[in-house]
Amino acid sequence: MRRHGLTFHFALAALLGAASLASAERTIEPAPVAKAPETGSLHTTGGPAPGSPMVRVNLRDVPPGDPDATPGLLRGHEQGDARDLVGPAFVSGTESDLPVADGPAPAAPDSRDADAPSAIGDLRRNFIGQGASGWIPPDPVLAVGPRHVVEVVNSGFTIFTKDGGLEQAYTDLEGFFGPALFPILPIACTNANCFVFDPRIIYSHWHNQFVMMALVRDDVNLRSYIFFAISATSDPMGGWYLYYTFDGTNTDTWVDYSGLGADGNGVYFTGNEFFWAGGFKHSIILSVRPDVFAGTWNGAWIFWDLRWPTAGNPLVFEIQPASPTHGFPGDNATWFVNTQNFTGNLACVWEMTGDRGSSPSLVSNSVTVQAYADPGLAAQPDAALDDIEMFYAGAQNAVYSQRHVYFALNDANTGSADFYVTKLNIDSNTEARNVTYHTGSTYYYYPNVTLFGSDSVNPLLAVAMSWSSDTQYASGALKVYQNYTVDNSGPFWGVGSGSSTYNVYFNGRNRWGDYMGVAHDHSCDTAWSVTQRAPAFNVWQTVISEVEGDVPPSGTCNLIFDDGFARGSTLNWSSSVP
Amino acid sequence: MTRLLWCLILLGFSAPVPASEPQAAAASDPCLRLETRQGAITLRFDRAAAPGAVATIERLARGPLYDLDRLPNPEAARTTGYFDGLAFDYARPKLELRLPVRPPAAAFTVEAELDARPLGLDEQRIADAGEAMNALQIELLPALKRPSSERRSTPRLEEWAKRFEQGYDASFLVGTSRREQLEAIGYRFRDGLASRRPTRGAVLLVPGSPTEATLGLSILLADHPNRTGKWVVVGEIADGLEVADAIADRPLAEAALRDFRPRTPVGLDRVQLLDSCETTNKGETR
Repeated sequence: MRRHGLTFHFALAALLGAASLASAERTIEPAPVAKAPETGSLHTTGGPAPGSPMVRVNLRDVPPGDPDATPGLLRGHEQGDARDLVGPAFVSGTESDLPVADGPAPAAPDSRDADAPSAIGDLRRNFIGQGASGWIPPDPVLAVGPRHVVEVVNSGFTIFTKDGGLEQAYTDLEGFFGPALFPILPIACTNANCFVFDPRIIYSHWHNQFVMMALVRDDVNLRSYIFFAISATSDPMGGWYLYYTFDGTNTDTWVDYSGLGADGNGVYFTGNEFFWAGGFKHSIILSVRPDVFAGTWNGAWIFWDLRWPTAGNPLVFEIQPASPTHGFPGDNATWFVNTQNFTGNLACVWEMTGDRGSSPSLVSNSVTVQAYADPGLAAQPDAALDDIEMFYAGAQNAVYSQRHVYFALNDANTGSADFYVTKLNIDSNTEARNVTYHTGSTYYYYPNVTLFGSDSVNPLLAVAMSWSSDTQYASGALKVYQNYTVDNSGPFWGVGSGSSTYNVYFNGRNRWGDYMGVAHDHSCDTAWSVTQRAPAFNVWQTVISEVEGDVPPSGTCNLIFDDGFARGSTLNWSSSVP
Repeated sequence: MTRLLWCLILLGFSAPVPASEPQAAAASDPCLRLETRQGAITLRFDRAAAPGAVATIERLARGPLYDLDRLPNPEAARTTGYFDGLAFDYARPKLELRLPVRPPAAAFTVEAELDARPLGLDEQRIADAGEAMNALQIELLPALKRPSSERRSTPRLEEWAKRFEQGYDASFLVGTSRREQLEAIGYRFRDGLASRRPTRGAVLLVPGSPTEATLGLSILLADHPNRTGKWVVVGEIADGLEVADAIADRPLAEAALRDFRPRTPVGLDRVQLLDSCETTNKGETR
């Protein structure tokens, strides 16, 4: 049930106290009032996407991964089988007692670009997350519910309580999805044929449920699937609804580089499709009706052959959903964004409206932004060893609030790598603001962004990333903007200092990842990040951090779970990131 | 240094074969019969497509691989042909089957013999601004921006990148041929070859770089148009394509590793070098 009502909202706020008052600030945004006449390009290359029957699994029935698997090759998990897989022993009642992020409240003034300074609290949690899972690169992401942090890496997930307690040890995605979905695919998979990769996870505050996805490649039968799971409640330790879908038209391709979004109208996947015989074909957007949150597959639609609305209509690459962090667009639109590949000065903004399961409308507009260029390789202290690949300049995630889409980009500089965050006005199709962060000879990489805080009009902005230099091993960092986007004011925390060089090659590349994770905690209006560091030679490890917003968390947001579970190792942090 | 030492030991096959290496004009195309427990595959090599590579394959298949005068036990090496004892160690079902490069891989390289004209690379040109942007964003800029080991920098590519970054307009590439694009990322072409397309049944050399090919043999089980002008096609399957399909369809050791290593690699039980595919009985057995 989506709960938009003011009455309900304030009733809930009264019931749950200050922690949920923060969420009462959220708004349904007014419909756009100054939107220019539609000039974008309408995309019609698409069709229904096949879907599966829902299969329900209980996490307690899923064993964790093999702790003896060989690190550096595949699988395995550093955290091991730290505890038996018994259910969580919460100390404070049942799930329904917990404060949960609520749906949006009715309209508030939409004073866009006000940029009023907001207070920023402290970094309040910082603990070690998933260690080397045996996969490279890790591609860590996380999502935060009322009581849990779910971290997903290649290729498994770990569930923590918010104070770092280990709820569910590393559980590989193949073991989670495989037994339920492999046998019911159009051509049944086996573990030898299929592998599961590029996971993503978000917490849908519209439904108070987690959504996790992964891509699956059947290299024997040349089939490609999108697997996804939706937690039955806000408790990820309970039941999950599992589904699969795929591009039934472009069967000469497989899907790579996932993106995941959700809002009140549906669930969204993005990806790049490559020919099985090699070479890029096109990018896709796939939308699924929101019935999947209730355990029912009821239709989906896929767009392919997506192209820029510019001269000659070149192909786009790596589209990302821009999920709402606070309000809900008044026009019920869903937004996506992509940048040019490696170098450019354009972003492409996509607007989806209509029934997400049957011929939705998809319109794109290009937006000129500050130029960006692929940063190449990041320095490490040991000059005798190779540097870390920083992937490319493009947007690795995006978020939406108040008629704006935000994303972060890497940008090349001489002897360094910058990052900049940009804010696009989706009504005027212009870059409203951007601000670049550059320091001397420091390399920042894989910046990912979220908005947080109680105020959707003047949200705080958090960017999670890694960084290194000639004197600093690969480390995690979290930047928060106090006064977005006028300047770079606001703290910049080093959340996990690296201790050694990283030179792990696969197919000739020393890859650090494709993206990192950052998420808005809708229950507490804080931001959480998962970043990477190199704690030992050729070892990656993730670090999970939480930063307060403008309203200090209180009540159950400060809950320390006295459940007897092992706590994650708390890390010291610093404010010395250059 | 390692490569230099091997070059001294190998019978002159280690350096890339010069383009001008004389060929026996009237010689028929040699064939290689590979017998496995799954059945036999006969490969026909095309001298007109890649004369230097085919001559090298023929000599190495016959053996010996090494300069016997430099080896302590020459008789043991005398009977060794390049393909003897190899196994298909890379199997992508419905796509490709490969024989490995015999170590030391760096020693067994040949020139990448490619002729743009038979492949239509001169006629294939960028038609509009959209295709120009595709070429730049999907192939050219990534080649320039890749990490050092994969970087493909040429003066022309650097110039194109600079022109693009001046205004982020790729339309200056309209009219550029596919040959010019490939040359910009390091490929080299020469005239006089009957270069072939990488279609199902073709036998290719696994590239070592844009200008060098290894002696790893790739058997295509599907068309691979993305390799046109990049991989050297040295021949085709004359017989036994269905055997190659069957070998590739065997279970992989571990899908997640993405190395496409078969759980139980199919080995070459017997290798026969044939003067032509019609002279099976006269072939030399290896």
